[in-house]
Amino acid sequence: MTDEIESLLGGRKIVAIPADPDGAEQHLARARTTLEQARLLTDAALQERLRYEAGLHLALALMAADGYRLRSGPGHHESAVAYLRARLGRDPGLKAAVRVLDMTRRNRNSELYRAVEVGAAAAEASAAAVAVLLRAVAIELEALSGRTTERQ
Amino acid sequence: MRSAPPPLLPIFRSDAQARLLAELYLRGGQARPISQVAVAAHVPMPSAHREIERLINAGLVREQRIGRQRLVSANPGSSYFEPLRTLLHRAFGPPTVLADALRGVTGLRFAAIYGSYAARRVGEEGPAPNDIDLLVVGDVDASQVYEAVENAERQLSLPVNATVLSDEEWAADTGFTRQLRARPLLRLGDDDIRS
Repeated sequence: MTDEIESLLGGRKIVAIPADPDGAEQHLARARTTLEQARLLTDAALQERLRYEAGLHLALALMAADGYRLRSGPGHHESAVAYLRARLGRDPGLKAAVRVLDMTRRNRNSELYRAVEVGAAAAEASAAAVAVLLRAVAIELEALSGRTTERQ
Repeated sequence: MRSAPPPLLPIFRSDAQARLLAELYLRGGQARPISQVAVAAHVPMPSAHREIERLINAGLVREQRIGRQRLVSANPGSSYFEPLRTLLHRAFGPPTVLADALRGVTGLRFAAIYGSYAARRVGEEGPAPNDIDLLVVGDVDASQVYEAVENAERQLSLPVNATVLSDEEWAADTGFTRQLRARPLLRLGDDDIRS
């Protein structure tokens, strides 16, 4: 367990649960569908919202597979992104993708609550980043399910 | 006439005093003539002279004389040096830190702070900003901007929300761009405040 995950547990941002591979697959599937739907839209702000939600599903997928659940409360979306950073951030490319996802989260909040515009450059960056994260989380889930099968 | 206290951190006696302290404490320790500090801090010379005299007497600023010239700089020997620099950095550091962080971003035409920080900086009273709203305009890669912003956040200990727009998006007449143009916008690099 990384220090960051320990800190999320200690701060009661996430709680340990039995690992839930089925739940993880469901979140991964929802992430894929949400991303496909985002591609059908033409409004950058709406795309940003959906891409952020796809990223959130990816964080929840990884948590379920690892045996954690996000606690609801102030800052829980931030904690979901922090979990992805803790799990995938050692790889510089994935760390950069999580950074973009975090700004996508803020862009989504600014757009939703303060009507701040989302530009094409932000939408392009979030599309690339969430696609990278989707691949990475799918590989992680596969590796985790392999380990589970080996143990059985 | 004394300027009103700065809304960003109204513990200082005047905005002029805060600007001079920020200039002396945040822009390197090199000793400079008072006239140069006054111009950089946008404070008229007579007020700058009076304020800096007061700061020298309190030991917060040190003075060196080279010939007939008086050079001043922040005094690192003062017991208030570190805490004062921390406060000044938090309140007045964001434009400099963000300008430095964005320097390497290719295709950037201009960047500006908007929202509550910009409003306080131009004198609108209100609560201290909890975050910084940053506008970046140009033909830029948003992920490069976000990396620069992350570096700035580490120095500022404040979240920075970056809005990246192309030249065309900025030129478009939308509700958002109209609102930005109507409200205080603190352009980075030239410290130019438009309202």
